[in-house]
Amino acid sequence: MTETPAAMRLLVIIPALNEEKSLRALLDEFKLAQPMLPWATEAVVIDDGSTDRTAQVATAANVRVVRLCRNLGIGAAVQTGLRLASREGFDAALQMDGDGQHPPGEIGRLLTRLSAADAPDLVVGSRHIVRRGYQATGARRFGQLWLIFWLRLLCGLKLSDPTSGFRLYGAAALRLFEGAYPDDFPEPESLAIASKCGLLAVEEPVEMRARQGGQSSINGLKPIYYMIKVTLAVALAVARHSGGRNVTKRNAALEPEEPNAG
Amino acid sequence: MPDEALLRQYWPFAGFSALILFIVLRLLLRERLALQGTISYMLFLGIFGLGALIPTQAAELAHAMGFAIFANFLFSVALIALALLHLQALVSLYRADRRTIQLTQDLALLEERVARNEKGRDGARADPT
Repeated sequence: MTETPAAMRLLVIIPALNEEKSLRALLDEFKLAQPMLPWATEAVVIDDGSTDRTAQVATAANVRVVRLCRNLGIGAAVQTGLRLASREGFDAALQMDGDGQHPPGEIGRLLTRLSAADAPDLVVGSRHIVRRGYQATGARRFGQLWLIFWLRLLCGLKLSDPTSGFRLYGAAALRLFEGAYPDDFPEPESLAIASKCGLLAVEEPVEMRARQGGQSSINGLKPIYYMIKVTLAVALAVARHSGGRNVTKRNAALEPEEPNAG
Repeated sequence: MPDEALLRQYWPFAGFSALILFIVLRLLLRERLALQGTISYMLFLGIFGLGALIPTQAAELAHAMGFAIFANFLFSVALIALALLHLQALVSLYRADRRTIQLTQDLALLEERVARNEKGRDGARADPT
């Protein structure tokens, strides 16, 4: 990297669905952490078709708000942010949940890791390396252990928190995923895609918290569907991208992207 | 050889196929359906209708394919046709879904850009220096 960190720009993407209760505190916390970050940072809330006051809360906090007119799901919401970052020439993009699980004070750790000598393309914040703060328990942890095994078997990835949505996309990952990003429950699948497309994904220990408000989208019988869907999706991603086939092929039939208009 | 009396019973099936074909054509003429997605549908209806109109030959074909009972042959072909049509519908739906997602994202990003530009313009008006 020839640019100094101060010249680098980071877009913090906060996908949010009905998070009015936790978003205000999160954005306040982000604003406190923002001056301490080594990169020039902007935040954008992607309102994924919320029916509460999520967009108004974000607007009142004076951050950028992109409002999707209908609920597209977490994958498409994150992709919207990645497209914005790519279109506006950001050097990296960071994804963090709108429910307050990911403390903005930990962003600096991920940025430092991205600038390390081995220059990873994707940095995943892991709550299970040093085991501080909120830890997944019970069925969730069992599901995570299965996905750890599955990703290791199919992709050779040695990760401890494959479902973490606290992640930093470097330039190559940004280019890869702004074209197409997995739909629902995208985190493990995106790791498989990144791995098969030759990107280096690493983990950095972070402290997480329990969600500060709202409801998890994975409830009721959804964990069973989640496990089946993600297991198959990872296997398909591996088959699809073995040999370095580009992920953006999926969108080949779509209209061409408009050029960067700033 | 199949029983002639039984074969005559397939005429209502031909009529039913013709009725659905008529409805599809009417929808096409009124531009409620796209021709692209209905060609395979009409093709299947045409084959079914034809099979009912010339039941002897259709029954011979069924026997040649190993079906002892003609009705089983029709049932199997209908199931396969439905599965293929459903698959085609799923593919179309997926394509439409991808396009809708991209258009929704485009719209949201454009709206955000317009809102930012307007905010910048308002700010410049309020503070011309």
